[in-house]
Amino acid sequence: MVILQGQSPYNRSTFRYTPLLALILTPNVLLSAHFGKLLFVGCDLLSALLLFRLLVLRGASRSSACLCCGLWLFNPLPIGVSTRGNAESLLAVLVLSTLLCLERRRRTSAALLFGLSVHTKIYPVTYALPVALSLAGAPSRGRGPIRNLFRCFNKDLLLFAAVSGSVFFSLNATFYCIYGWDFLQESYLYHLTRRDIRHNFSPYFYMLYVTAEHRWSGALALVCFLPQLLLLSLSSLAFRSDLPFCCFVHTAVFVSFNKVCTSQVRARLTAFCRRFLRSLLMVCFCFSLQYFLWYLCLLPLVLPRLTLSLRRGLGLLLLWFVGQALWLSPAYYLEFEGWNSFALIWVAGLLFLLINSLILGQIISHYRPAEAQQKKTD
Amino acid sequence: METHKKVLLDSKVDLEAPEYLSSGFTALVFLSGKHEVVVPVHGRYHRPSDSSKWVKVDIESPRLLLRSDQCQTLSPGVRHVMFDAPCTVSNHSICSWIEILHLEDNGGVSLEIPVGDSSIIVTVCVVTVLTTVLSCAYLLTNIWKHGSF
Repeated sequence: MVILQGQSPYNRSTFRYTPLLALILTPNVLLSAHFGKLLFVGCDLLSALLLFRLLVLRGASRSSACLCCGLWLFNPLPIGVSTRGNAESLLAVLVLSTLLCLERRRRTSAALLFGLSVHTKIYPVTYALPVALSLAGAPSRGRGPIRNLFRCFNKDLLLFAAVSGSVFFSLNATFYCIYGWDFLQESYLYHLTRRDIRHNFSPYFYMLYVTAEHRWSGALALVCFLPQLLLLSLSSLAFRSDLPFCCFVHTAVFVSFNKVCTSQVRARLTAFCRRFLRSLLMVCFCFSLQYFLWYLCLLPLVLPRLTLSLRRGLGLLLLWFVGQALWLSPAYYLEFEGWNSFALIWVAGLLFLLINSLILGQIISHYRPAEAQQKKTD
Repeated sequence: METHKKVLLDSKVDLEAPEYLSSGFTALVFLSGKHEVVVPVHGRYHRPSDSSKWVKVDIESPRLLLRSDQCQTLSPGVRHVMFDAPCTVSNHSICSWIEILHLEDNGGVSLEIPVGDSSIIVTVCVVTVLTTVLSCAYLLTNIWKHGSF
């Protein structure tokens, strides 16, 4: 609406996305208020189609591909998030189409889509490392280090970097010219430097809250960053040959070890939830499970090659929900009833991290990459 | 604030800032024809305390303003002052309002906001870092064992 009037979308206090999103949603005002929600639901369906194509391309049978897609399509979480009007499914479409193009060796289209997705939300930039490693040439033993370095930075990698970089920078330059510093601040810098000390799923929440004005808070922020960095680097190196799995591990690590894991629209939701308190679903959305959508859209790609037994898989899933419930309960009482349940939220947050790490560890140890599967069937 | 059309704030409010980084503000609630309004309040985060689990926040009693051009008869015993404020919630123009003084006051509202415990700061840091290191080590071991390098 604000864009139609020719003003900056950042005049609204909690708009922290790309102006492209505001542009895409202008039919919300011109046509119907439900256009945005329909668009996001459409993106959900498109994501399911992309998942299906990717699964078939990676060798899954059509029936198991359908089953895995069903996990995304009929999952209440993406349905709920999209019908609420949240743009996460748009990003899922962009990320999945980038992966599909890479699997099909359509590197230029992949680079275009990658640049677009990083412009839309900053977090896919973490995929740059595994993508770069998968495109880079393998170093050979005979040559020296300098020659090997040149071999690694081969034509494919440079082309990818050039195309995605130019898409990203040209979009940014355009919007910077139109909207100025506001655009950079709200779209990117806010996310990178945010020091949100309010309660969220992150294990570091309580520590950052009580040390907020301490002199060691800077050093602590660095300590928080190290595990993430180590895990992201090592997993990129270890799983570079299987890009969707690598991206899944990346996103799971990123979300679990992040300093902040919350939503920007909580304040509006809080007012809304006050009236519909009793519904647990509303509470869940209030504490924004949208972060989990980021790796949930990649989970169906990982499933066909998992050798976890159904019992174990369901057990891990149940454990995840238990971890969620253990966090949500004290958080609900803190936010809506004003109880002092900070210590409980802290402990629940740490427990949730342990549970997430266990689940991810089990997934990693029970994953069979394509070559191993082929050897099995031969 | 933008969603509830009948409320106008006098300054831009950062929804996420803690209490010690934000300043107070005034909210103008425009009533037309209604006689009762419920204003929901959400507390900001306050500094953690090592002595108390709660902090008390007082909210000033509301003041009543009446549009002077729509208010022809005002009984002489009612104490009032003139006040300039926006005419409507869209804040296009300033009008003259009458503030009715000495309203029946039940002392205003106070909230008890829970705060973190800064007396266990060292425990929190140590346990958090240990747990993160433990999870990180577990995952690194798994990745090392099952990755292809």
